[in-house]
Amino acid sequence: MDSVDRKRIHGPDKSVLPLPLLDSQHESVTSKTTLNPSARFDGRTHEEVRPLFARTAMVSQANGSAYIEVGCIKIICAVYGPKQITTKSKSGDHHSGGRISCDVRLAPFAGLKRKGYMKDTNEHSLAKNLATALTPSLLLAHLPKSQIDIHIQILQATAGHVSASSTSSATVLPPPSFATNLSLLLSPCITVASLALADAGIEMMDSVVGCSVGLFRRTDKNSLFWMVDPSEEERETRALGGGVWVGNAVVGVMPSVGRISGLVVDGDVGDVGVLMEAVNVCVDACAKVHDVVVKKALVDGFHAASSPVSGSSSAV
Amino acid sequence: MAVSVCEREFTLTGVASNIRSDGRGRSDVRAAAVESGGISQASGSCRVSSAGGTTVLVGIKVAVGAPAVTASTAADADLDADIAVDNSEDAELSISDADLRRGRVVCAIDCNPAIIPTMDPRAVEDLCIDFSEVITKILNADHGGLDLQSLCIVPGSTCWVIHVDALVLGYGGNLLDTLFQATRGALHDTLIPKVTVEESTSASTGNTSYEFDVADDETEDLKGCENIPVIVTLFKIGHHHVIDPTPLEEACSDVQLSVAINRKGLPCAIQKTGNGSIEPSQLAEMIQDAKAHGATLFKDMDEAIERQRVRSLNDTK
Repeated sequence: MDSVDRKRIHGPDKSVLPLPLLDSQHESVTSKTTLNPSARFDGRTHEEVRPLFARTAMVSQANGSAYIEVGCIKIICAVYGPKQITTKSKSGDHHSGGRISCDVRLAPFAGLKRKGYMKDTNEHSLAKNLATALTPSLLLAHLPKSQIDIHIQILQATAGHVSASSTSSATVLPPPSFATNLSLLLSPCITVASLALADAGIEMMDSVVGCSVGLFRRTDKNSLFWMVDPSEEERETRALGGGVWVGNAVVGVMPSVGRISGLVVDGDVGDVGVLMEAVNVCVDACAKVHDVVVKKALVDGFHAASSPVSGSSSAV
Repeated sequence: MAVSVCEREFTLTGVASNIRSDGRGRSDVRAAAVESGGISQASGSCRVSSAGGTTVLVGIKVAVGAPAVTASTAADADLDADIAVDNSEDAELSISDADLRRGRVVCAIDCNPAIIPTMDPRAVEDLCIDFSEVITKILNADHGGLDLQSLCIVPGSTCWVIHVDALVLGYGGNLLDTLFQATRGALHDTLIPKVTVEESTSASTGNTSYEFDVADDETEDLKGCENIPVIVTLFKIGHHHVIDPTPLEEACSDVQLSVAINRKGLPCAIQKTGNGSIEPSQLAEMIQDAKAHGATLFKDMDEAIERQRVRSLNDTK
C-alpha cells in the first residue's frame, strides 16, 4: 500500500473505442417536442446520449473503482469500505445502518481556468447530490456501524479546445457559467460511482445511472424542447436549432427497479408536463446506458479479475 | 433522529388516513407570522415564526464588493474586494462575461445545535451548509427573480454584494421553506444606498477610469424582489406526501422534494433529498401539488409583506 505513488493519476493505459449506443432494438420514440436531428452539432437525435466508455478495476488498492469518459468529461472513482466507523456520533449509531461519505474533487487542471486546491461549494453540493442519488440503491441497513467512502476525481470537466491565443479573439464565446457545467457533471459522477460500488462488491438494489437533459426555449415560438445529454458545445452556445438554454435537469435512475433516486432541476423549465416528459426520456436513456455500457463494464471487469493474465495489467 | 417502530407506524398510518398527530390533513400548513424590519442596523430584516415552533431571523447587509467571475474564482474575488476601483485593466477585462456585470448574493445560515437536540451537531452544521447553498444558488440564478444587473456599479470590478445571514431560533420542522420565506421577506425590506458613477477617460493613455459615490441618506428598493420564487418542500411518508411537517414526520420521511415555484406558478428549481427513491408518476404528482401550494404561499406572502409595508409607512409618519 505504501509503495503506491499517490501523486500519479491512475488513468487507463490504453484507449478503447466507445461502444455505439444505437441499435435497432431501441427505436427513437417520436414526440411533440421532437427537434430536427441536424440541429445538434454531432448529429445525434434529441434523445440520444453521447457514446460513453466505462471500465472497472482502475485503482488497484481500492476495494472497487471505475473510470468513465463521456465526451470530454473524464472521471475516476474509487470506493473504500465498508469499514468500521471510527468517529463517535452522539445519536443513532445503534439504530441506523451504515453510511456513505462522498468526496468529489475537481482536478486543478480540469477546467479551462486553473482551479485552486481548496474545495469549493460546487464540489460540496456535487458530493451531496451524488450521495442522495446513490443512497437509495444501497442496502445500508445491512451494514450497521460501517461506512463506505466514495472518492471521485474529475480529471477533465470541459473541452480543452480553447488555447491561450484564441481567448483574445472576439469570435470566441464567453465560457459558460461554471455552475451550469458542474451540475451537468453530476450525471457521469452518479454512473461511475455506482459502477465502482458494484466493483467493490457492495450489496445493492440496482446500479444507478445518471442522465442529464437540457431544456431550451424556441426563440420563434414560446415553446420548450429538450435535448438529452447536452454536450459541451451545446451548453456553451446555449442557442441551438432556434433555441435558448433555459435550464437543465439531472436525473439519477435505478433502471431495473424503474425508480428515480436523484433529481436536480435548475432554471425555468416550464410546466410539469414538459419537465416530466424530459425526465421520462432520461429514465429511458438511463435504461439504455445500463443495458449496453454498465453491464458490459461490470462483466468485463469480472472476467479481467478472474483471469490471471489480464488481471495483472490492472494491478500495475 | 431515531424513531421507534411504533412511532413510525403511528405517523405512517395517520398520514395514510389524512389525519396527522396535530389534527391537520396532509396538505394543511401551520400559520406563520411574518415581521419585517425589526433590526435597525441591517439593510433589511425579517422574522418568520411558524405556529409549529420554527422561528427564523434573517438580517441582510449590503456591501460594496467584487463580482464573481465564475463560481470557481468566487473565493479570490472575496479577497480582491478591497482593490482600488480605478484599476482600468480590471474594468476592461470584463466586457464579455455577463457574470461580471451583475451583483451577487451570499447566504449563510447559523443554527445552534442545541436548537435541534434530536440531530447530531455535525449533521445540523451540514444541514445549514446545504440549505445556504440551495438559497444562494436560487437567488444568484436567472430564475431567482432578483435583478442582479441593477446591482452592478462598475462592470468587472465593483458591485453590490448582498449578504443574507439567517439565524435559526427555534425548530419545529419545515426549516428550508421557513428560511426561504424569511429571506424573501427580508429582501423585500432591504434598502440599498444610491450610487452615482462617474466615468472619465484620461487623454494621454486612453484608459477609462471610474469613480463612484455612495449616498449616505438616499436609498432605493431592491429590484425584482416580487419575482423571487417560493420554496415548497414535500415530504414523502409511506405512499403519500405532506407539507409543513413536524420533526417527527420529517424523521419518518424517506424522500424530500424541494420545489421552487416562481410567480407564474411554474417550477424553476427542484432538488430531491432523503434516502429513498421515487417513481416517476409520483414525482409528477408531487410537483403538481407543490405548484398548488406554491400559488397559495405566494398569495399569503404577498399579503403579509403588504401588511408590513403599510405598517412601516404608518410608523414613519
